[in-house]
Amino acid sequence: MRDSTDEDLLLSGEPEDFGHLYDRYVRSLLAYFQRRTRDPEAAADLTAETFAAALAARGRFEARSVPASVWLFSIAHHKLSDFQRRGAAEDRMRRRLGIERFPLGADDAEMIRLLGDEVAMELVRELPADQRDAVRAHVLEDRGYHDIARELTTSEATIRKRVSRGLTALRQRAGGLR
Amino acid sequence: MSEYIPRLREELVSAAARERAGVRRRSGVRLRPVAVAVAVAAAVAVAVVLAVHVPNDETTVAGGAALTYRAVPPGAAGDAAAVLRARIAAARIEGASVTVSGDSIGVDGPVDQIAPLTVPGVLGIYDWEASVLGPDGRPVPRDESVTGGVSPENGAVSRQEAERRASRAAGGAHVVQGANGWYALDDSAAVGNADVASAIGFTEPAMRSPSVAIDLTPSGQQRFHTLTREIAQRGARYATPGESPLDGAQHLAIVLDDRLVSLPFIDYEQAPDGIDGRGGVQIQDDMTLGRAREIAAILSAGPMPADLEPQGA
Repeated sequence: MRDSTDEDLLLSGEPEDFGHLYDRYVRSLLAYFQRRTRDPEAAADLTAETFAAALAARGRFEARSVPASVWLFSIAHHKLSDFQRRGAAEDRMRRRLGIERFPLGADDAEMIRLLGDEVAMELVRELPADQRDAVRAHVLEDRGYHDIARELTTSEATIRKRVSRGLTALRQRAGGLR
Repeated sequence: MSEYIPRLREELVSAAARERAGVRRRSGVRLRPVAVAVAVAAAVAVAVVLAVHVPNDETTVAGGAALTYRAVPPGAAGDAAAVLRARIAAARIEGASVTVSGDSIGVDGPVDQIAPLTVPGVLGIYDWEASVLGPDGRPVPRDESVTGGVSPENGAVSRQEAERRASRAAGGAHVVQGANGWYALDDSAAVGNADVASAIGFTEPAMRSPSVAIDLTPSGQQRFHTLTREIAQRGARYATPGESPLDGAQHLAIVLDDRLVSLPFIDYEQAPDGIDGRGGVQIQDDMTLGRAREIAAILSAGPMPADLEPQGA
């Protein structure tokens, strides 16, 4: 699936292909909405609504007109405009498709803040290399401790410590992430 | 790790699977491919073969029956007992006996499993916008305060108001209860019990949720196709240029007794000519597998020809 284009994934009709497209863009969209709303809950709702709208409307996507990524972000822009006008994220497409809304946990809210916070991203780059790699892998790329530990040939406990220390350092340097 | 990202992915992939299957739904219904319908029909046959034998004694009430029902109207107990036995067999309930004496029906066995099978079991599939009644007792398909628009459950009213609307209808009407309240529907079900060939309760692998799969008779398939075509064509007529078909889509309603089971919509772009009834109908609601099997058993055996009034043990 790595070789498939965004357009292939969008148009294939295979449910799992839409999942792969989601994997490629979910963090970008969360970051996009977080930067503009400064509200992780709203960013999550808008991201879900954007993907739901894309799923519902993909039959009308024309691959030759614009890249799928541009098309996806144009939907996102529309959802954001609507959010700014109404003061709330609409959920019409999610309800239409029977997509459940679920509460955002504290860890997820922090992950979205990090994704959207350019200052925090800059600070991540300034962390010691071991902490930076651990925070990137676990928080931003959503990888498990076990997976990261295996790749870095160290223990899970070590990775947990690096992530914990990295996040603590980020909070201190940013004066407490919002 | 994030819980949100994988969970939203799961929801989207499931929604994509529903889309691929052909019918988008809200809480409930989609068509199945013909191949699946055939598989389901085969499964029904297996279920019948494996069903536990239920005594066929219609002559006497067993002494000490766990539950007794009075059949109304008089003289209908024999037919009602036959339907109840068929439902028990379809639900594969073991150790049950159903006996008849006069207008009384005695039931022995696991009564907690049998009692839910004594309901009328009347199925109706309606054209929602053309059937739900407004304040003056008439359908008003373009009035979203009555139909609920894109969220039809929002058209709910109090039971008293629904009964008032039903009483004003020129023809027959009745009230049904949904998740948000009550509705008045005219008696214009396009598909009913007579159109059901078989039904089975099972866990839908793609959706991972209990479902009831209903196969329709040839005439039922035709009725369903006609119904969904009319709904799709009305959706296309009402469409606003530039509007998503999801916004203008019209709905069908599935009602079992006085319960509004499901309100799926027909995407007029995906199915401009309606939906082929050969694929059957699949009901998915927030229910257990046991409840799905109960509903399937009720639909398979047909409606109860009498009201069964509990008389106690």
